[in-house]
Amino acid sequence: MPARMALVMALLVAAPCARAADLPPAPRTLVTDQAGVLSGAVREQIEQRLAAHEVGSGQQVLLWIGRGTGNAAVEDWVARVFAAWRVGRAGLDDGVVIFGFVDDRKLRIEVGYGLESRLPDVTASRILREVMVPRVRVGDWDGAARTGVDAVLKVLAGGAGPATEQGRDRLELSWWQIALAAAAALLFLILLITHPSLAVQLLFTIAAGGLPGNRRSGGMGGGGFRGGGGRSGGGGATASW
Amino acid sequence: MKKLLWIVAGVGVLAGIVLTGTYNQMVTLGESVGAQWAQVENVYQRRADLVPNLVETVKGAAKFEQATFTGVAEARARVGQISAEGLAKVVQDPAAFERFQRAQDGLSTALSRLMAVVEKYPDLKATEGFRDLQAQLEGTENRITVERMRFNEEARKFNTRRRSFPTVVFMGFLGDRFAEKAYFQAEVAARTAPKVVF
Repeated sequence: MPARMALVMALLVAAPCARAADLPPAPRTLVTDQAGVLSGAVREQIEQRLAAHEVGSGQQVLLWIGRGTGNAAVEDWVARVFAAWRVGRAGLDDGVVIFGFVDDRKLRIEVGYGLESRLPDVTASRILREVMVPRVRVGDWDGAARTGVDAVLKVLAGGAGPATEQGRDRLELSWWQIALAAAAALLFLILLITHPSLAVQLLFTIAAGGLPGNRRSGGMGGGGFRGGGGRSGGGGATASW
Repeated sequence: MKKLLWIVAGVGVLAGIVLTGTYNQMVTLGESVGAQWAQVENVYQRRADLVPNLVETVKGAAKFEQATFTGVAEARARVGQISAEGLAKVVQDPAAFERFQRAQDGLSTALSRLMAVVEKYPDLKATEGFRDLQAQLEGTENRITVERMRFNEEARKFNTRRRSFPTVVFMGFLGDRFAEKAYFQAEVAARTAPKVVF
């Protein structure tokens, strides 16, 4: 009997994981419109705005418009998608995604843990209800997307976070990283004395390629999206029309 | 004879290494479950903090629904009692876990009744204050769903590891320290969700 119960429990718990395969892959751009409701110009314009916001604040804000979430509840689906895309920076969890589901007639703003105090549920709900829904209702997706993104960015700009990932990284050198760097420098000096040509060659290789660990997290500056490891806990709001 | 001694010593050392690795892994997994439990507690606390404000707002417009208000107040009091018992050990003790879940589900039911009552008062529903509270409540309920789901995932990882070989062999020696974790069940109310008729 306990074994059977355990099996039932395991199935119950495992069921949500089986659905993970249905989730859309992480987008490559900050703005995604699978339903084809945005005009090209507006999509480009919002992409630029969001990219500029990411460069300035480090926060990742995405707009994603799709047809629907299938059988899954919107909130549940969105929480899984956010976790899979890893929106926002690791540790800071400063990502926001504005979702639109054309067939389900639903909008949702999902807020990363780190921005819950900056963009509380009430604010997210008001942006949806007062700014986006009235425009979507009359078919003006361009207007809804533009004003919705503007409203979210305006709220997020209300306070200053750490500017960029690198600024943060620099402060976090621990003692062993310093020790490692010192050891590397010492080895290099020894190499310089014993095999000068080899040492110079090594220096050029490093300078040209950059050390793998020091690369920027990609997608910054020129638009585009790459998940930074941020998480959300179901904060935000949903609205329908 | 000496060779046998070496073999025994070798097996002993190997068992020691495996045991240490297993133990540390169980500690790590147990910590993850504990951390996720803290998240669950946070979101439930967030809901409990929201209740007085919500009740006050509804009370202002719907004076004659005393039974519903009493129901919410009682359910919240039960949640408070469970919290006072000490939440830290709830993860360790399946019976306490069950009590915790029952109390929280009771509050869920009472709150959904309260929100159903509001349907009768369109004036209240239209006020900005109520809409904000509704947004907060919805957000909080959603957080609860998410954190409960994540707790179940962490507990499943822990239990799977605990039941698999060779971990299960060592678990006998360690006693209750790594007892199996309980899961959150789907709410009874959620299984028989009332249809909202427009």
